[in-house]
Amino acid sequence: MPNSNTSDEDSDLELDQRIDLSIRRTFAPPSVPNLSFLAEHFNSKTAATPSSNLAKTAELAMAVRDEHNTVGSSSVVSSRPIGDNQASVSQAPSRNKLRLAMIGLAAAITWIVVGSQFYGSWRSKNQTVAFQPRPLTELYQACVADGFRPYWVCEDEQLFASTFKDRQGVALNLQGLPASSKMVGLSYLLGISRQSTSVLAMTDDSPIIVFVDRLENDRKIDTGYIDGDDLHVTRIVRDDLVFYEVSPLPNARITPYLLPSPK
Amino acid sequence: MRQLEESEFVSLYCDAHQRLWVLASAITADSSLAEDVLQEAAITALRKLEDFDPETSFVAWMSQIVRFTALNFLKIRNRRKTESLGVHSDTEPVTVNQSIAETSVSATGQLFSDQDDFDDEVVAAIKCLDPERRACLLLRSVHGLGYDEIAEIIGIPEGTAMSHVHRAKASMRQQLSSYRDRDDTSDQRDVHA
Repeated sequence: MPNSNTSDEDSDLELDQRIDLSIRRTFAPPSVPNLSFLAEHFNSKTAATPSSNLAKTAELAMAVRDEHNTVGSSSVVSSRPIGDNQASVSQAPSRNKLRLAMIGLAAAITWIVVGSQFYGSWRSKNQTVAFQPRPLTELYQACVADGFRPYWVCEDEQLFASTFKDRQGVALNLQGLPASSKMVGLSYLLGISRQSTSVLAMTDDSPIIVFVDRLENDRKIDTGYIDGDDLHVTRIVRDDLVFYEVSPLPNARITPYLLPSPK
Repeated sequence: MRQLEESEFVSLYCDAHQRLWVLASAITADSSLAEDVLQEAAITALRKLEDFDPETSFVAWMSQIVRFTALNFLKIRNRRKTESLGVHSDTEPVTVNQSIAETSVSATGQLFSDQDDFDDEVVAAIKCLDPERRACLLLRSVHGLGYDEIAEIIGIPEGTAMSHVHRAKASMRQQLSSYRDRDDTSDQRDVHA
């Protein structure tokens, strides 16, 4: 596989990439914020009357639930716009019904706060890098602006295939790529999910990125011509995998050649 | 000026939490302190809620409070180190998030036999960076933030943010140059077991 960089630049690039991955592992933030200290703050701050305390923490729980959907307690806590103030809570038909509702909310809040900590702990054990979905076109633009440099250039077909096997469950290789196209390398730009593998390639001097992931990790991603970025996003589903090819060209040029390895 | 509701604060805080966490861990160079820093900063922010204009950037405002809180933590920790007997040396390894390190597997598609040593040395090299430069590097590496976003969080010009990242990377590369030489001697093993 052609590699136009000098040996020193290759070494620097590889070291940069290794450092980057190490930093991501070491400084990955927790996926769920710890909010129990806020509940304690509100409880100690507000007046001693149960209804005002619970109303305050009810707002807190609603804000957490609305924004993060961490625990499914929707049968008790109803969705409300952020910013609804305490006055609307206190306009319930009767004082007794309000107190019962607030007690129920308090139980739900406790479960939300405690449950989210367990959930966060579970997630942090199963997740090495924080993932925040970003438009694929944005990732493409950033990669191009950065010099379109892959994390690594894999010249070993078996290693290439095993990378996809390990990450996506299917060994893939580029087979029969036409002369107008060439493989640049592999990156881990995230994209569809934390586990996505990115294939960097060129066709007719146009940079192309194919984001590959398990079909089960697919999410709502805009496809077709993306006017603001002047880019095309093509989605292909095959072999329990989903491929999103991003490039200035209208049709997928690399994905059709990214095929399961012959056995 | 409308005052931000506490429930709105919680929502905005949750949205910004990961970036603020990276900022806190970058300034203290200690990811185990980040949550403590954030909690103290959040309580401070709640006490100053009337000073915040909801029409302006919450992230920028909260980042400033996190920065000051983190620097305070650093000062207190450094003061305790110099005051206590059996002071640790400056080369003591910085605390690493062990659960993350233990679960890190072949994210690169390659495994290096000296991966753990390398991670420790990366942390040590990061600790040698100036806090502001370190914060820029981490926000870029962990979150992939644009320089304009980094500039907003740190409170510096965009060009300075760009320069910080570039210089931080060069410094890291220099400090870890021995691994570059080891890479050249093919110290790698195949992913296949």
